[in-house]
Amino acid sequence: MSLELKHCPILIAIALAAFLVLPSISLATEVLIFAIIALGCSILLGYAGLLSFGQAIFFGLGAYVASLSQIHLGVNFLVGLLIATAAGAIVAALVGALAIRRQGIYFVMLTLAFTQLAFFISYTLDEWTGGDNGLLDVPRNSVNIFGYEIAIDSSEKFYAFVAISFVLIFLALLRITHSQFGRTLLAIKQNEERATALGYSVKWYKVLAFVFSGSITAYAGGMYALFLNFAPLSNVELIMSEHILIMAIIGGTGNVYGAVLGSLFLVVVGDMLSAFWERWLFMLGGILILTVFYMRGGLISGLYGVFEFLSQKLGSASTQKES
Amino acid sequence: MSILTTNRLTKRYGEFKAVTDVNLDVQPNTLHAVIGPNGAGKTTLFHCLTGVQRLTSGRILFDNKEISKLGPEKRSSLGMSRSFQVTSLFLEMTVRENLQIAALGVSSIDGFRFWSSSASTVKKTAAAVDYALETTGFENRAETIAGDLSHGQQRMLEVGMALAQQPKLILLDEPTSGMGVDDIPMISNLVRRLTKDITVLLIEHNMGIVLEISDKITVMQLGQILVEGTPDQIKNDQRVREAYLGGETEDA
Amino acid sequence: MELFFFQLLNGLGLGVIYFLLSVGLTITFGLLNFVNFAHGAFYMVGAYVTFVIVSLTGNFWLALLIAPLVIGALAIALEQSVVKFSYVLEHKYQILVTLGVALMLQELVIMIWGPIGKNVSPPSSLAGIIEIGDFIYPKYRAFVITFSALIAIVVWWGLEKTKFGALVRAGSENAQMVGLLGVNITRLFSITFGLGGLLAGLAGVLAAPLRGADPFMGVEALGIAFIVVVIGGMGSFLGALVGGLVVGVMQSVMSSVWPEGASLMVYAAMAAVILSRPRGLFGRA
Ligand SMILES: Nc1ncnc2c1ncn2[C@@H]1O[C@H](COP(=O)(O)OP(=O)(O)OP(=O)(O)O)[C@@H](O)[C@H]1O
Ligand SMILES: [Mg+2]
Repeated sequence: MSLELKHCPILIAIALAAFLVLPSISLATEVLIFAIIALGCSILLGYAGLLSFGQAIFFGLGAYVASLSQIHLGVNFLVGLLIATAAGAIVAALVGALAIRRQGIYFVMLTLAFTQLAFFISYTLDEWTGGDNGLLDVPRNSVNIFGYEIAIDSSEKFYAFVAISFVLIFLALLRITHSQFGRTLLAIKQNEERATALGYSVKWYKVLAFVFSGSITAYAGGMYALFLNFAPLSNVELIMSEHILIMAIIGGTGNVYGAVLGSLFLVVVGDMLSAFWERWLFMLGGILILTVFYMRGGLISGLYGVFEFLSQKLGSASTQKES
Repeated sequence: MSILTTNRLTKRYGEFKAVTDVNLDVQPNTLHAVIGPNGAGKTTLFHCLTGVQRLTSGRILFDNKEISKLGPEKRSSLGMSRSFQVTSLFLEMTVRENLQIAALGVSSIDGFRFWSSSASTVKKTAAAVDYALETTGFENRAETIAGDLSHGQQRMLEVGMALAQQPKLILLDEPTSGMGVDDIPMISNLVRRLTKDITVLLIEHNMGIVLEISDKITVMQLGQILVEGTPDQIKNDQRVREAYLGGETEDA
Repeated sequence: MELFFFQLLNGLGLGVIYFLLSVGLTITFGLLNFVNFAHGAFYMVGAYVTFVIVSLTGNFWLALLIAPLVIGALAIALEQSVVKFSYVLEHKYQILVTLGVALMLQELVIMIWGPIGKNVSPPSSLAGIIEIGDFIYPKYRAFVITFSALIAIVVWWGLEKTKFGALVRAGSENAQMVGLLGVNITRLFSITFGLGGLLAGLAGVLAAPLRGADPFMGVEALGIAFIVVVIGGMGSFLGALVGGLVVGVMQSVMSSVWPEGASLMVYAAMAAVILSRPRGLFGRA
């Protein structure tokens, strides 16, 4: 319980701060959605040690499924998102179970091939996905409970919904990463051979990590489609996987808050920079390289470093005063 | 009643026969040593027994159960644990966390508990972890990161990991390798003490130790069993002198 | 039948370009155990350098001579400045570093030449068609097939018959061993990396008149190169050749039967090969 008590206020503060500080509400919405997506990637990379180019599959799938459920099934947006999440979990289990049959570079190649397959399948099934044009005019069907109608028809309401989702998902993932499962994943990442010899069925741990990662990514993908009222084909592109990876890595994958920083960095800095420098991705490439060489832990580890430094400074200053 | 028997256990890497037709018979609560020159196939034998490698042919009976087809994860839950010749730890975790992970490995579900805090899950390992800490002398260093330990300490933790699983049979692959002379008695005493509760299968190069503490010794050469017997029998066996001790002097 | 033959030839032409594109990737993997996500960028920059030279001088042959050298130099410069520091890292980090490099090169190209692709016309001497009886075929494509086949022979000769090639092959078996023989292994690495880049650049030059130059062709090429290398077997020269031809022909033939499915098929083949036979057709165990 103390875990939730400690982190819930921080998460709420982040959601409020994003709303108050960022220049537009749509930017704040986007930051929180991509924070969830980066978190999905961190689970795989930071905890299970799996570098996957497959995140776009779950992101795009979530967007398509949520959109199609609104258009064809007419279910309310919550149900739509839950269907998307379930679809994400199932496909992630399949993709994961296949991909982890190979290791190292072959694993990476498999995830890359699966993303390309997902892309070309989405492209080919244009009756469902709208092909190149994407799925247009995605509605957000309102929820009806006992005669009360809950609609998310304004950007403020939508933001509130995204913020609640953000807080809940982060709390859930905090629980998971602080559980024995989270620790076992770290052990597997550090020494897979030993974990196997100790009795862990490494395969299933990785598959479960995929399921968590895929389901929250699909949920976020669904929210993103409802946010834009649009599910473009670019959601399933390899480049999307790359961007998600870069976001997670620059933010830092060993800690859930790294995902927030990564999203903040890419979405906000991207938004600001692209206004006057369209090719800011050039810089991003450079930052990625520097992160790998000099700051493996990402921005979050840098931030912790600064905190530690400051608290030491303040600590020593105050003890000096006392003496 | 044997705790472990193998029947014509054979392991080939491609064409190369690393272990051929090995029949092993290990009695409970004994210290059974496997010795032999470098490349004799001792580690490969352990890999086969613990399921790290699949056998080419033959059978393994552990505790009266046929286990030759089981994966490594199944075997540890049946009560068989091992240490590695090349230290293999979770280097970014503390000694205690290493032992906790080891202790939970024998349960097939505890590692999957994702909704309760790890602190509450590892509670049940307290006894096992304390036992391992105590036996290996790590009580005061439990919170040290494994990667920061000295080589000798890492070798000790390597054994501790196996102990934390509270196995019926423990397989130790050269626990003293790379240890300083001063630390060696610690390991040999520890190993000897273990047989009070469990069975030990030990690979060891140090002949002094082996002859002193073993109940039974199996000598391997070129993947096969050369001789088997008590320390006294082995000490006086001409073939062992030629094959093993001869090889040893060449090495030196 | 004629159409099929036409597509088959086109596929061969595509296939030899794919071979040039991939052979560097596969050899650097074999030798350095290094995964280069920036490899596709060499191909793309090669096409752009061709565009520049052709639009400045109007001479394609000059581009054919110079552009690969430029890309080879670029590759060596990158190896010296960034890539070599990542040899010691895990594959994961090598991938991320080279991904960063690829992104930077792509954005740099867009900064200079804009996001819209450029057309490159084939040399006038190779414009038009050749006729063999009833069969007609574009001259330039025929040239690409012949020329690339020659280059393939040269590369094969270089790997099999020269001292350098022997070192590369030995190095991909056991780098430490070669180091013990007193060979400067870091030099060997960077030269190999440079030559791999040069060949990818050459592929870009040859492809430019066929498909133009655009900033995103690098990403596409990287995907193709991975497919080729995986199908052929990582680290295998023969694998890159056969893999390139298989993928080229498969794409070309499929594109007349089921155009949307062409790419789908090759990626499905890639996944199937990794899952069922990770060594590919000719890779080492
Ligand atoms: N994975 C493998 N593939 C091929 N050959 C192997 C493999 N593992 C071991 N070998 C070979 O099998 C033989 C036996 O090796 P093993 O490690 O079992 O010997 P050992 O008795 O433990 O030797 P040491 O005392 O040096 O530890 C050696 O010749 C070794 O080279
Ligand atoms: Mg050994």
